Amino acid sequence: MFQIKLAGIIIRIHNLYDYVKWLCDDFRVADKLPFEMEISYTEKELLLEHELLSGFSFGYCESNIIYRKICLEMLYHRSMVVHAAVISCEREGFAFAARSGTGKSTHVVLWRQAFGDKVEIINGDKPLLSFDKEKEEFIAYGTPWCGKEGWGVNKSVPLKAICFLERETDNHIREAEPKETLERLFSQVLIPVSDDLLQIELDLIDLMMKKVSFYILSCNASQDAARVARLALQSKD
Amino acid sequence: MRIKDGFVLRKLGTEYVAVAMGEARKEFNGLVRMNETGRFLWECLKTDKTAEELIICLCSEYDIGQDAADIDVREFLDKLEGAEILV
Repeated sequence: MFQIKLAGIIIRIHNLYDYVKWLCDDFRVADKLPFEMEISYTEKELLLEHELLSGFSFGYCESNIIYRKICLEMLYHRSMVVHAAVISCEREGFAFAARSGTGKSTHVVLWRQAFGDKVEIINGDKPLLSFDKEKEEFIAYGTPWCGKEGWGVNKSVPLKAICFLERETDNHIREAEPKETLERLFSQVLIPVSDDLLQIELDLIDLMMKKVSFYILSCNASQDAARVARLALQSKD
Repeated sequence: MRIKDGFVLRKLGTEYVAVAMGEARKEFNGLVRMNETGRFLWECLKTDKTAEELIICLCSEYDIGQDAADIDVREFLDKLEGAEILV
């Protein structure tokens, strides 16, 4: 057993394997702190996951199950996981979402190359996007689950925009229409099985569509792609 | 025809989507996106209607011609039938 703090919530995790504990190292908090969420799983769930992800270790499968459960529980705390890479650029957060293999990782590397230390990768794969009731804005949180590159830090940034990536030969960016946003967003979120969680998720998506800007970025793998994107995404003032 | 039990319509931002809840989700775990016209037709289809009745409803609600309404209704019904939402 160990405890972590994710998106402001202290979580007690009951694990069997060391991998998940190692993965969560930067997010650990003292085991004696009062926790708000408790995650455990059954042997049956682990065996099923192991069967689905053939070739992966039990430790990796356990870590997958645990994060999926955390993400669903997080809905009760107004947070949801989105399959995207989040960067922070001069204290503004931008998320880049795309189907696997489209080049999310490549694109965020371009930002680093083009703008250097102004840019920090908060999470390369599975950040939590959380609605802050007091500030009335979405905050993107880093999590230990950050993709095969392992790009992730225990930091957060106010989320300004979500950008859907599409591969093209030249670079252009435009605001997404609400219908485009919905179609693309739904393919990058975890759909809960339970009805009440689904309702909460839909409420969050509704809020997100009101509070966050959505763009479609058609881009190649040159640094120009990052420049075109930044010009449109970053606040002008 | 009418909408199967278990489907609900939600407004997300400026858009409407239909999602299945409870038992209906075992068969349909996606969403059907629709515009304002779709929302209106959805409401109509909560009780049994024929395509012709829907066209009449649409014409009177939106003050559009029969031909335009006919196209909208067919498109909408195709979408719902494709997702097997109608009984």
